Amino acid sequence: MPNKWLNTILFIAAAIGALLAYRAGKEHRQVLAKHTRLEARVGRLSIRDPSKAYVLALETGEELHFAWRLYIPADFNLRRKHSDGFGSRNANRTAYECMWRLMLRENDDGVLQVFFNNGVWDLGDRRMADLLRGRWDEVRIESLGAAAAAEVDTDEVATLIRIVMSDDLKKEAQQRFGESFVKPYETVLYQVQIGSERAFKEAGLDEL
Amino acid sequence: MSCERTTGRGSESGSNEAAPHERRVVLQWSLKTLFLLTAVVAVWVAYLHFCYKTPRLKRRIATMQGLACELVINDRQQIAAVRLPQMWSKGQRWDVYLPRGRYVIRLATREVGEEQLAPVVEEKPILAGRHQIELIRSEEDGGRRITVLVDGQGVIDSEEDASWNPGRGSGGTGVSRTNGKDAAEPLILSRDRFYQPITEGTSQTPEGPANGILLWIEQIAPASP
Repeated sequence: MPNKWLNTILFIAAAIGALLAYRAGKEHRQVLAKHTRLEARVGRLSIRDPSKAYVLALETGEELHFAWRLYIPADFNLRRKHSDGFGSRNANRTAYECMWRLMLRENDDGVLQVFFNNGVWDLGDRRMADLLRGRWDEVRIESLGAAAAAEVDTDEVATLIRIVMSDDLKKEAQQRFGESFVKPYETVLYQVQIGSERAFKEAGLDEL
Repeated sequence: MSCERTTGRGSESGSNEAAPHERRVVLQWSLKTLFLLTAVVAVWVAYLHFCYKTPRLKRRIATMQGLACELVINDRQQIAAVRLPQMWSKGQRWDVYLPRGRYVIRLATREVGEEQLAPVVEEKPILAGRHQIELIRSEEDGGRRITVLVDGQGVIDSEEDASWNPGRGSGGTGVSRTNGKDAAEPLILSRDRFYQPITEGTSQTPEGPANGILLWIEQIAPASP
């Protein structure tokens, strides 16, 4: 008799558990599908150490269009510095994630422009656009976090993107437009550095 | 399950002389019981596993939805909107959901204040449902042309003269994300007010209503019951 009662109780528990597991599993599958879809858009960024910043480069499928997903820890106070002098500071008490985009395009006036998040500015003048038009394969572009998410420590200034002309392009630019045209772009055509406020100070890159 | 009770200490010959109530209990389980027990453990472990995993995934989804600028509709009776990433300098874009009802999209270019609405320059009806709205500003023939696209189709095309914009920059607000807003309230997509020149090289935020751009969606009739 006790055996019969125990079996009955176990059967009811199994039935209830099965129903709950089925419903929870169905919800989980839907949520997982949504998660997978979103992850395909914004990448998978694993935070191994919440006290450090992480940068993951994303595929945009477009030429000269770069995107990154960033994790910024609490109190990191992110600084960003562009090689043409632009920059920003962002103090933060809590950790957050954000997306950054950079695009290089020619505007209607034939001038090469850099678009970064919501800002846009010229990269050189028409001569630069003429020089680089159709020759972007001769330009070396290094993007942080392209192979895998990059870790940025609080005392480190990292290069988010670095665009460098080939030696042949520099030579041609010098011949066509003179040395004064090439000089500002000899080391780097365009570059964006990021790091904490502290890291920039320690590296002597404090001026904005 | 069956229980067998056997005698306790002492030899077999002496066991019958032990206290009759002292017996060792040996439990035996039937196959059916073992199977049911296994099933109970399995389904409840699975349930608890999903209870642990699903909320974590939901939290990550909320973060990723913000990063992806995905429109989130929490209540189909309310307006939802999200500002899309600006892909180039010319246009601002939004993904908007409007619940049942009748709406108009309105543009104002003058007397744009800090919070209030402004005199309408142009307006067009916009259907309930989901739309992508784009606001483009371009300069043509020395003037200032403002175009509003809804789902890729031009609905508003307004042109202002060169004096409309002092060219000292502007400051603005507008919806970045709302997952549920009363449809009876106007949805301000973009409020941009031009800075006023003070001297040759300085300008300031206008103190009162000023020239600029105010783009909003307003309900003109709620859904019929």
